[in-house]
Amino acid sequence: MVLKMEEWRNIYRNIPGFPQLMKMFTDYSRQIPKTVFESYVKSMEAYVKLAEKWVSFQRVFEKKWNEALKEFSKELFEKKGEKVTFEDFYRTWFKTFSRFYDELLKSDEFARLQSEVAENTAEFIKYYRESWENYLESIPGFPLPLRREMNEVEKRLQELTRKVRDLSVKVDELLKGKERVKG
Amino acid sequence: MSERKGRTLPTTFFNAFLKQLEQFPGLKLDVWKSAYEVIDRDGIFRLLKYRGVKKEKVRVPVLIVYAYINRPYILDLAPEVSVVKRFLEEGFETYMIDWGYPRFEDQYITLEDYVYYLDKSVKMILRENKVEKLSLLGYCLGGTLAVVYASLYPEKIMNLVIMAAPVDFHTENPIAKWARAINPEKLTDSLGNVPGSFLNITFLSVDPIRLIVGKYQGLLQKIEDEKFFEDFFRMERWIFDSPAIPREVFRQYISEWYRENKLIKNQFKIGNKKVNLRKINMPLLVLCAEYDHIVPPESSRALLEAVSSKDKKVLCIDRGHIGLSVSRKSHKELWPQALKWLKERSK
Repeated sequence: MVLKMEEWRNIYRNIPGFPQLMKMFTDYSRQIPKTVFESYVKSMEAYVKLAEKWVSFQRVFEKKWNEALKEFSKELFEKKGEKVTFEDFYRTWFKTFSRFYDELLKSDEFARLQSEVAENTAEFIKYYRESWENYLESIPGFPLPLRREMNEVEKRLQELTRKVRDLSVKVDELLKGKERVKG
Repeated sequence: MSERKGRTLPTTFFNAFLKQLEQFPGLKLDVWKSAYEVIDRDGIFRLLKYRGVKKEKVRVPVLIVYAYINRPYILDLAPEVSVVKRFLEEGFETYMIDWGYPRFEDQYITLEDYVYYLDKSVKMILRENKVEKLSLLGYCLGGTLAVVYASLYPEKIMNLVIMAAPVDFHTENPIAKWARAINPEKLTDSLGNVPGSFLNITFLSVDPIRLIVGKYQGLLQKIEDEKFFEDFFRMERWIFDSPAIPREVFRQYISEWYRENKLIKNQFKIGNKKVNLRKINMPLLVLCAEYDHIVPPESSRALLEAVSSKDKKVLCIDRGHIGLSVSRKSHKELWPQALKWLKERSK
């Protein structure tokens, strides 16, 4: 027997307390601020971009690996008939692959891709954290400080430390001047 | 422990591995070998004073400033390759700044704070030794800080020695290229302090085949040589012991030094003070490594043209960035010359 959607709903509606529980969830979800979803969407956009850039990043490595492998095989093939020791084999592999990867890492394309991967990773982390912080902030009486609040506190503390330090230097200079006048 | 020191998971695993290795009887992987005392602390910063080993003292003390992106004990890794020990043996009163391990609460430290602590240390050393000037030795980004300091307070510096210190940041080496391509604001907005492992990966990526494969293959070949084994893991300990970089410092040095190259253009500012390299008028010694894949020699050499010093010299060796301080060749060939140069100017 296959139950229809409406029949399923009736079963749940008849469970004691279930409709009240559902109402509570629905009401609560309506109270979640819009910013939570906005940040979450931004984080997902960054994630999609990151995935795309990561694939390109991997492809560049893979392409270089294959090119190096081709060159390595060619060099080994040239030695056909000669006795190749493991030492020779390793040295040829090392030399060929170092040369190819050196070219890749010095290229502008690699620098661009690397920075794109790093930036999209950073954006994903930033917006994902932001969406969680916006959500936690919306919980009434949430007892812990958020990271952005802690950052603000740390920033102000550092500024105050610097101010105190500059003032102490000035006080020292004034005291020295006073001693000189007395002397 | 790892959280407090701002270390990351791979570093913690690596340290656990080192601890296991140290269980082998007779195997010594300890670092920071010369005896020292901490004579000042300010937050995470410390000023160390090394205990002298010679009775005849050189009149002018020397302050060593290492980069804030790694640990300073690379200059005192093992007795036979210790730059600190060489200074002590020559009779120099030797001091060193340790920039510590920045944590979450240190994320708003700026380059201005580093220069302030440098000045505080200089004042303390001058007072303690009853002299008016000292010699400043800066390595890597610590060298860049030393250059900034020497141009702001030339009256306190007798001699300036920089080792593999970037001054002109617009070079064609991969690290400079990558740093120019990166957006530091975006990174620090999400990460806060930039983890040490981020820079570790960057440094390894500069020459992945040699640094990830070749290095360990070399270890396998010499695994029975106990001395080599110890040196290798001491070095590995240092490599993976990377502190995080405070977010503001990362932002400043990537955008103002690497991207805008403000230092060599005399446009860089510490607070409201402009850093003018022309004000560097004391004897200057530039130490560089020909195969440096992190700071190419031309980046340090650029300082020679920018300063007004009459007495200036370059010493270069065919080693890499770290080989400058820990290779046996540089201890045999470069350091005796460098110490002679400094001693002659420290009377």
